[in-house]
Amino acid sequence: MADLLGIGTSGLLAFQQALTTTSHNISNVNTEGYSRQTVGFETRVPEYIGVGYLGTGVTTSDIRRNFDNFLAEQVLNQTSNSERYTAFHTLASQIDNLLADPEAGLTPVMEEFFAASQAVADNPNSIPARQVMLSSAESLADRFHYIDQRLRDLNTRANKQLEVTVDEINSLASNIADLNLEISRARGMSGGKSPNDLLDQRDLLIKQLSGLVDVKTLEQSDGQVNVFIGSGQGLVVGTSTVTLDVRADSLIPSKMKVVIDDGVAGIDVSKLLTGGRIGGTLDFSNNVLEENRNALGRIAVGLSEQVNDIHQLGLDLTGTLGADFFSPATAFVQPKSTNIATGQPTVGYADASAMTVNDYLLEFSGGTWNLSNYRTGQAIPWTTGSGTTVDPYIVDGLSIDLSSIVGGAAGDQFLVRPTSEGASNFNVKVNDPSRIAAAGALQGQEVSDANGLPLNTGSGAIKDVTPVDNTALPLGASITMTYDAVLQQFTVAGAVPAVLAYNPATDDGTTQTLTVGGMDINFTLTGVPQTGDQFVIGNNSNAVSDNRNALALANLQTDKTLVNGTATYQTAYGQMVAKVGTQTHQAEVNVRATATLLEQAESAFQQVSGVNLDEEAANLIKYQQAYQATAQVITTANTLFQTLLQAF
Amino acid sequence: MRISTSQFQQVSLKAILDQQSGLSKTQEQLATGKRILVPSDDPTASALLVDINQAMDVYKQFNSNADQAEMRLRMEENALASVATVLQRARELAVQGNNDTYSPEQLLGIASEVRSLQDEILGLANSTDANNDFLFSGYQGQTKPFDTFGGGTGVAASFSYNGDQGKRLIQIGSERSVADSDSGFEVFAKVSDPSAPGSYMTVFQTVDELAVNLENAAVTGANIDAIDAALDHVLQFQSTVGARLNAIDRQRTVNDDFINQMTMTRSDLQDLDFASAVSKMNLQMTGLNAAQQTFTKVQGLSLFNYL
Repeated sequence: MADLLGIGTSGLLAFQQALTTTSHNISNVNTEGYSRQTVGFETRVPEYIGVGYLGTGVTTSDIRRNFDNFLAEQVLNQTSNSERYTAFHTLASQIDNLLADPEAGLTPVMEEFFAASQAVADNPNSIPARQVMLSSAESLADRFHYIDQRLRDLNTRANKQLEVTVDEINSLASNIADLNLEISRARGMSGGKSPNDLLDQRDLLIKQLSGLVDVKTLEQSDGQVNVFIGSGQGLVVGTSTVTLDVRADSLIPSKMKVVIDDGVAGIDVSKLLTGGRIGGTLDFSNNVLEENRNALGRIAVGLSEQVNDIHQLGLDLTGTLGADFFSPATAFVQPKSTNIATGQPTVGYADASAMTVNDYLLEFSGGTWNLSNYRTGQAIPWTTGSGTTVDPYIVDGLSIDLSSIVGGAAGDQFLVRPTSEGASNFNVKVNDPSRIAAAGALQGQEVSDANGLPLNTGSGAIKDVTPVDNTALPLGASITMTYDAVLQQFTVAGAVPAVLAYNPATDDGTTQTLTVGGMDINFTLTGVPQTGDQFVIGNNSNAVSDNRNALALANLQTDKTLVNGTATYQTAYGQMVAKVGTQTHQAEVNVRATATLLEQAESAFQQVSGVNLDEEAANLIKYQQAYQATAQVITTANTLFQTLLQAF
Repeated sequence: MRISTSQFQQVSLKAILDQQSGLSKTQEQLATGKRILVPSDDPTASALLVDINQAMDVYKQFNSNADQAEMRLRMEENALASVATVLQRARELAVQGNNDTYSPEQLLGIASEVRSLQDEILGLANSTDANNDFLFSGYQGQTKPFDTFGGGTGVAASFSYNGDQGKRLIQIGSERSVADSDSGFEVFAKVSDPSAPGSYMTVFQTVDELAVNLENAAVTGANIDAIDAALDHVLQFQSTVGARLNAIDRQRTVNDDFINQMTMTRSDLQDLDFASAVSKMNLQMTGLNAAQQTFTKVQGLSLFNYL
């Protein structure tokens, strides 16, 4: 009877615990990170009674957390991946949206500028047409600034996001370390039993952490978990943590890097953090943002350089040689703060069409300055030039003159960013409509008498007189060419060569070149001149209706002047739009794919750990019935005892 | 397979949210009529659209350039036609003056008409366009092209050309430019003198010479030849101008064809196929409806209802 009562009580206690655990499961059905718990039963130690072992009832062996480490790790990995692409996509789609609006992009203002140039070519003498060209150039500059500003805003946002994320990581890490301590204490107190709810809390924190950065975990024998990030940097080791920090890049101050705080310069781990929100944000900053700013900058630099080159070959309404139309572009050069070398390289644009969207690193080896691609680290050999002022290195359309750098120690660096500030520095320099140089600087005509009347007797004509640059403009004196039909040549006065062959049968319409003060002048001759016929190349004057230079400017719209002569400004912009579109699209696909994978991992994990209310309801019934049955054992024991008492 | 209750709910909810976002996108496509809402919807087509939009704008600009060129060429054509009419009248008067039957007084009467014709031609040669630029001064639109010096009754005048020999080109097609003017040097000054090969005589001089010879009763066949040469010269330029106007018309057709073709390509690239979009939207609405209904039905099931 005593046995019966004992067994009954053991059952009641065990099923009470089971019912408590079931209730705990039910009430935590919506608790994030909660893992279903189950009570394990085992028989108590049996009693030897000579004939055999008599059972002594039930006891709860343990209260188990239904948790699969392998599945949990899958969830961590997929959370990292999913958050990484989500963070990337969220930022990239901002650019996608910015470029999506046809009214907000570069296209319409670029069109307007060139349409206005054409309108000036149609009516070079019209001040209103010139005014429109200036104001459309201003709109173009505004739009360059606007898009670049939006990109920089995104950069600020990405940087802010990095800071917030790093703060979150630090706080999660310290909470995990705290829980590690509590868990090891709890295990010690209970003789190695798992404090399930504390484990759940810690696993939830680790899962949250995996959304921020990719993590690897390693459980220790005392129940503590070490958390590693990147390529194995310990974030939480037992009860201690390291602190992450966000620092400005030493060469690009607007760019942030994530470092492990070591009390000094910090250990840069940016390149190692590929997963989670941090990974996505860094990926965006490094691979999308800077490249787009550079791509936009390249269009701006190309446009200002090429428009200026042409504008300086023309004459404005006052007959003055054109100045810069847009502010000349300047490359951004940043010396490393620890440089021993003083001064800095002079970087100019030798050929805007050959420009890339790369940033460059100039590094001193101790003997020579070497150039490499800043992002990829790939070395770029010097092939042309010697780096001096008169003979600078020519690389990717840039001229690099190193003569202003004094001294230097191995490891000294300069960052060269030819295009990054192109869009923000794009400004209109001309502010007076009459100063737009729409006319050609030179004009070739047949000779005329004092009254401007014709003298030549042949059918020869000169046209398309174009100086190659403006180094000898305006001409000090006119160039006169006098023909000899017998020798089939011109005697040239005022330029070299002194004799210019012209055979009307073969040279009609071919480009001829004369040189004045080192400046080449191209032109074509047509027809059959007679002996004594003269052509005069001179400074253009009073040519208010001349539109040749305006036409040359307008033609830049359709000339393939960028990407090694393969793209117009609009094509280059289109390529930028396509690239952002592709990157965003790719990210979108990845977001969907990783979301599905995460869903699958979660689902597999939840199959083991999740609470199912129907199941719990069934368990409730099961344990209730068992409890009721066990209570009957007590009743039976009581009845037996009463029977016994009544026997006396 | 065990299914966790909260997971089950999340999955059902996600199905509804997915359907909603798909529907929202289709709805936006239908509202804008565009298939591509952001470049990532179709990156390749987006880049192509930038090019197509530019090409269309460029060709529209060519057409607007063509309008400008046509306007100016029509003015030149009118001026040249008037000059030709005036020269024809001068020729009639030269033929009259070459007739012995007229007395010196009568010849003076004819001469005075020739003088007014001369003024008329000079006026035409110095005419201006809508922007107040001289038509026949080459690049020097603000320089009056022709001046007269000296001369008077019975005395030959001399003439000067003050402009330059520039001929402005206007771009009317991707590979086609057309001159929208001719310099006075070419049109009025460089007329070969039939009586002195290798030298030139301006149109004004020809008419002036006729007037002087009429005033001095010394008109000869050479006067008629000179006027014929001037008339031929002017008519030649008139036909050049006509040819340019034809070229502009032809180029405009080419440009319009190109623009139409690009409009069609652009529409193919970016416009929405409404029929399929509407049917897609119906499908998505059905899907959303089904997801919502199953959610409420399934979530209502619980063993606890029976406890």
